[in-house]
Parts: sequence; structure tokens; C-alpha cells
Amino acid sequence: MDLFSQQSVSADTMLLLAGPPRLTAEGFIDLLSPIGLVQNVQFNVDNQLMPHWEIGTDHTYFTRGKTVNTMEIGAMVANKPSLMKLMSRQSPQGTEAFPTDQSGQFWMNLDSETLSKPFGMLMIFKTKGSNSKGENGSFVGGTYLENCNIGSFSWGVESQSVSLHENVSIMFDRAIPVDYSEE
Amino acid sequence: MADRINQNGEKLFTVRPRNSSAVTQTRGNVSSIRFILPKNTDKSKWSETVDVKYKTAFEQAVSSDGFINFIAKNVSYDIQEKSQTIHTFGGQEAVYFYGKAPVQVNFSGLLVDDLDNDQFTKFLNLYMNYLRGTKASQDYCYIELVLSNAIFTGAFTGIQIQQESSRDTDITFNAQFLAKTFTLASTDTFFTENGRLNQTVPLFREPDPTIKQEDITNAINQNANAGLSLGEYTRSFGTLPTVTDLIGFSASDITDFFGYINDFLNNVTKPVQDLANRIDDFANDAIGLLEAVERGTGTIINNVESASRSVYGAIDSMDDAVTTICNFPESMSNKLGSIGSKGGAPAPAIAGSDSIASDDAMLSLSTARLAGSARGTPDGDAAVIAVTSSRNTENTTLSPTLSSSSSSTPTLSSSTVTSSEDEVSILRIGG
Repeated sequence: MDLFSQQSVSADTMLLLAGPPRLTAEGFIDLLSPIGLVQNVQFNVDNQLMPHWEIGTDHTYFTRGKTVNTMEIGAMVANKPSLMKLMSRQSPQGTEAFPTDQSGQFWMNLDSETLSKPFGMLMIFKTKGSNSKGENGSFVGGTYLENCNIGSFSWGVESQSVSLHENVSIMFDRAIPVDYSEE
Repeated sequence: MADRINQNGEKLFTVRPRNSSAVTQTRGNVSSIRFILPKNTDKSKWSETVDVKYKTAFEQAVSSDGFINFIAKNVSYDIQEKSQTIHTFGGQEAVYFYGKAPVQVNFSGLLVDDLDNDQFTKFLNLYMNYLRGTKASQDYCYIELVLSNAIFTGAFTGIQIQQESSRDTDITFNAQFLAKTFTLASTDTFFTENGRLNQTVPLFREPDPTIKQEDITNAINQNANAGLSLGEYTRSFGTLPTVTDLIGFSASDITDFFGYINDFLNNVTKPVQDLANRIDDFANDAIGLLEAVERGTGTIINNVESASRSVYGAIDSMDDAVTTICNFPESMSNKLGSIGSKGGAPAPAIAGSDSIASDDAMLSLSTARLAGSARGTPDGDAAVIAVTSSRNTENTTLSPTLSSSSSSTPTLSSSTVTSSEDEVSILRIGG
């Protein structure tokens, strides 16, 4: 337990990146964009588990429906590409340039053409300490979220807070486990 | 090769869908629609005749993969027997079965109407020109509706489209498909070498609907020596069974059975029969009694009716003779008085006489005014009274008159006057 702080996954040892909508091997790494100033992340998967009962017995049987995958990300707004600008960067064409249908760094128009295209999200979970010398934390897990689509966008500010916050809610097709190593 | 998960003796230990990654890398089979051309058709020649607007969709439909530009969301189908229930006396019924009705499939889903996919127009173009029943049958083709667990063979009989303003790209459709036959695909196929739906070993399949005349002729010839094959109606696989085979015993067995039963039944039924006979006698006696009551009642009713007719007749015949009226017995006048809406006082009886003084006649008439009438004459009108002249005159016109000093006394009007004693003059008295 003394080493718990070194062995636990915490907010400052997580990495979030936006990327192309499908996990591909060709030039994939170059298309990833890290998402910074994230203050909160919520991840939810619901497989619509349904219990069934039969007349005459007390057995409970279970069947699963199709999985519903959702995620929410909240970040601070600063002079950097906002959440929606980062997530729209990786168009299916794989261009490195940011789309130009919205101006500035803080994008708010969810109805734009660019944001009708899906994207992907890579999540890496590490620890602060590591089991091996020289290692920058231990890899705990990673997953790539394919075919992400933004369902809603919001932002808010309070007089007492020091910054403006934006939030996006996302639904995605599936989560693919990935392995991670540093070179 | 993947295996089925051992269910450990339980009924539903695990439930894995057909699109499980353990058995397929394609995340499942999408639904498709195939347009099946007649046998030995040159598909390329067919394709040349297709309008370029829907050539791509057509070529997809005639390919082995089928047309997939739609999203199937709901399928329901009804498998019915054709039957007729005949109700019989005694509480039992006879049911006749004569085959399976065509399977009606209700098929609904989503057509995406957008710039990049254009599913809506592609699907409807294909439907209007090839998939609907009239068009398919004109070309001697049929349609296969391919789902992940079943294939329906037939043709589309109708389609409904719904579009809503809040979601421009989502167009829902609801189609009806008449399936002459269907094939079910077992999940056994996922644990065999070739797991594709096209090569499944079906659990159930009905005869191919495109059977030709020579196929039928060949089937009959093959079965000629073995007997008549009647298909699903007899399941005889080429021969008709004998009656003994079907029901397990012969006609002579039945005769013996009933002969044995008959003696037994006689012993059982005789007491019941005796009781029934006694009940029968009782019923006849009861009927006789009832009939007697009915006759007696009828007599009573008849008497009442005759009495009432007599009363009415009495009113009618009050014009016979004044002396009769004058000698009206009090009891009868009481009866008259009780008939009608407002009974009146009885007319005073006047002793029988062949003449009356005018004052007496006036008194009689005035009181008769209040006698009322069962025939609904208005209040104040007496029944018709006839007065016979007591004076025998010949060819003399008489005009009997009565005077009255009060407006409340009845007035008298004369209608006809006769000259002979035998005729009567009718006076109507009103108030």
C-alpha cells in the first residue's frame, strides 16, 4: 500500500489523443493529435443486458443486446485548438491540416460539414512509477475508440472560476484494445 | 476452428450472437436482397437491357452477395395453417387441415437519403422495376430476402415509406413480402468448414417454387409403380398407406369391438332407459294438465271477451228501442258507467212501457249524457240513442222537439225522421 501512489492510474498518467476513425496500420501514429487541458472524462459502455424468466422455475437467463458506447470529455478553453477542432482534424482523407470551415481556436458550431465526419480516440493508461528502472511509468492499458461521433457540445463559465469550460459528449462504434510501447 | 461453449448442463449458460468475433471476422452478415434470374440466363445480356440509372443496383442484386443498400431493422412473419372447423351436434368439432398458407413477411428498416450513399433512390428504383411481384413475375424471376438466420423466397407485395421533417436523412420503410418458401440457417454452419450462409445445410426447406412441368412428369413416372405421391398431404414418400397401417386396426376389429360393447352397454343403459321412459310418461301427463288449464283459461278468456263484446254490443244496440233503454237494468247501466274515461251516472230505470212522457224522455236523455262510452266518445256525448215514435202514423213526417231552459242541458238535433213505426229516428244528444 505504500507504493499505491506509484502503482495507481491517475489523471496525470492518462493520455488522450484524437485520430482517424478506424484503426489502420499505415501511417496511423502520425495522424494522432493529443488532447490537452482535459479536466474530466466519463466513459460508459452498456450492453443492454436483459434478464429472462421462465414459468415454473426460478432460473434467470441473460441475453445481451447491441452495445451502446458513450463518452464525455470536459476541457478548459485556451488559446489552443479546442475539443471539436482537434477531433475534426483527422478527416477520412488523412490530411494533417486543420479544416477551415470554422475560424479561430475555439470551435462551437456542431452543425458544420467537418463535424459530420467521424473520428477516433486513443486512450492510454499508465502509472506514475514503474517496475523497471528507466521506464517512464508502467503501461496499464490502452484502447482505441473507432467511429466516434459528437452528439452534443456545451460550454459554461462562472464568475468565481478562473477559466471557461467546454464539454462534448460522444458515441462511438466499438473499443479495440491496443498495446503501447515507447521507443 | 471455434467450438460451442459447454453449457454445463444448464439451459442458457451463455448466449453468443451469430456475429460473435469468435466465429466471424466480418462482424456478422448484413441483410441483402437477391434477384434470382431464370436458370441458364446470361446475366451479361440481361445487364445490357437495364437502364443505366439503376444498372449498379441491378448488378448488385443479381450477384451472389445481393443488394445491401438498406438497413434491415425489423422482421416478422406469420406461418399459418389452412384449416376449417366444422361444429357438430354433441359438442365435438371436426377440423380439416389442407396445407400451409403462404408466409407473409413484414420487413421494415431504414433507407438513408444523403449525398454519399443515396440508398433511398437506389432501393426504390430497384423495387419499382424489378423487386415487386408484378415485375418479377413478368421476367419469370423471384426474389430472395436474405437475413442472417433465414432466406425467404418469393416477391414483394407492397411497401410504405415514412419521412419526417426532424430527420431528413432517415427514411423508414415498411415492406410486405410473400414467401412461397423459406430456409432456416442453423448456427451449426459456424462450426463447419464453410460457414457462409449460401452453403448452409438447411434444417428446413420447401420445394423450389420454379419447378417445371418435366420435373412433375418425372416425379409421377417414378412413383407410378409405388403408388400416388400426394406430397405433404400423406407424407407417404411415394406410397399410400393402408387404413390398417394408419389407424392400427381393421374393420373386422371394429365390428368385434362394438359387438362386445353392445352387450355391456345394454346392461348399463337399461336403468337409464327405464327412467327416461318414466320421465316421458310424466311429461305427457304434465302436458295434458297444462293443456286442460289452457283450455279452461281459454274458456274464461272467451267468456270475458264475450261479455265485453256483449257490453259493446249493448252500446251499439242501444238504438234498438227506447223501451229497452228505459228498462235498462241498473246493473247493466252500472257496467256502462264504469266503462270509458269518465263513468257517468246510470240512466234511471223506467218501468217498461210502450210510451213515455216527454219529460221522462228528457230526463232519461239528459242523464244518459253522462253515461260515457267505452269507445272514447268525448265527454258530454252520450251513446247514440234511437227513439221510436209511439205514434203510429203513415206518411207523416214527425219532428220531435225538446226544449231546454239551461245551457247546461243537452241540446237535441234531429237527423232523420221516419214515418213508420218500424223505422227509427236517430237523435244525437250532445252537451
